[in-house]
Amino acid sequence: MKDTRQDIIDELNEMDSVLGRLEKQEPPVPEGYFEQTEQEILRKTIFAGKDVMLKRPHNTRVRRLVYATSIAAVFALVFFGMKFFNKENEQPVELIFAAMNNEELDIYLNNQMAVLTADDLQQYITSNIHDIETDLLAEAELIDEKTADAQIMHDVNLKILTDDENMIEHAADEQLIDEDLMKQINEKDIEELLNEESLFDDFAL
Amino acid sequence: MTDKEIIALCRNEQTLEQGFTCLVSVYTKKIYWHIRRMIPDHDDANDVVQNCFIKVWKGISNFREDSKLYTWLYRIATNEAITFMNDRHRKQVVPMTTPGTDDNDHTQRISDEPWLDMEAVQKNLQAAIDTLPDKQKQVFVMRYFDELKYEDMEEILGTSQGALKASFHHAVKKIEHYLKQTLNQ
Repeated sequence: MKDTRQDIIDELNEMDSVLGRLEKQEPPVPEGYFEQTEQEILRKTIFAGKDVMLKRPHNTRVRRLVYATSIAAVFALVFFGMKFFNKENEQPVELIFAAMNNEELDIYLNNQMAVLTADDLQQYITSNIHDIETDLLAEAELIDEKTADAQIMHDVNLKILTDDENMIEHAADEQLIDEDLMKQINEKDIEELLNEESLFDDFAL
Repeated sequence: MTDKEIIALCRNEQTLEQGFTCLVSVYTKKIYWHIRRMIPDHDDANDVVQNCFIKVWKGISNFREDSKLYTWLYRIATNEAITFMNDRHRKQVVPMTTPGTDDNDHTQRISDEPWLDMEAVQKNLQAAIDTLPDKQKQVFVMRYFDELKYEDMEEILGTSQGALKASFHHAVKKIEHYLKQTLNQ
């Protein structure tokens, strides 16, 4: 490009044009415009119609996170009485898990990934994103930076609420928990769910 | 990342999104400035940039190396800009203006040697470019601002190099004429 630039200057000088001596200036653009535009373009193209980015996991560490997410999905589905059954055995997944050691569970979930499609997982992650550890999702690139930021803000709010004696009432008031869901389950169930330290303990990353 | 690497990523379905993300990262600024020089309004230019990349996304899977990646991108961008300008011409009648009579321009009289007042030239350059016919405007922007080679411009615009050189020459002369008139008033 440098040679081309010199060619152009030579060409303009041959025309005896002042433009060859003119320093090129760019008109102003809004601050941060290019970064925002890149995101906007990606949103309109490769992420069009996607609420959350879900990438195919390539390494074991990320795969384990996805498995862990699928466990959370399965637990949640069973917990809320949605009758998520293993298609072959017609047994509740809850019972299948109870009979397995970690290795077996890992293998089972590996197979189960075929049952739980990417769409299922994406739908689960999107609708339950506040129950999944933000930094892990961001690290695994399952969510984009913007979503992670929004989630971190939410986590901060939730942490404050956790210290409150009337956590459940506040959660409902602040619509952190869906109203319809609140009607379906009792307070004790919610309290147990929210007090669960981690669904991922067996899958320490 | 080089154009070859971007193309390689875009050819593989597994890495297509990664390749397109790289393409957007490398080319957004260049394409924006290319379009903005032809369409001075930022918001209009922004719309054209977005449309341009949507077309690129739709076509990138079928891109074959018959042409270079950046000439293909510039061709799409130029076509989008031309379409926009044509639509604008159809929708509104732009009044003919005599250089220096526009109330909005910041023309200033230069008493001694106007060509040495580069700041004044700079201020009026975009207005001068806007007076050019569309074809000359494209050629001038590609050569002067985008610093493209004539052979690449030939590929993008489908015009012979001789005709492009003549267009550039005419465009430069018209711009200088406009600037001389403007700055001497």
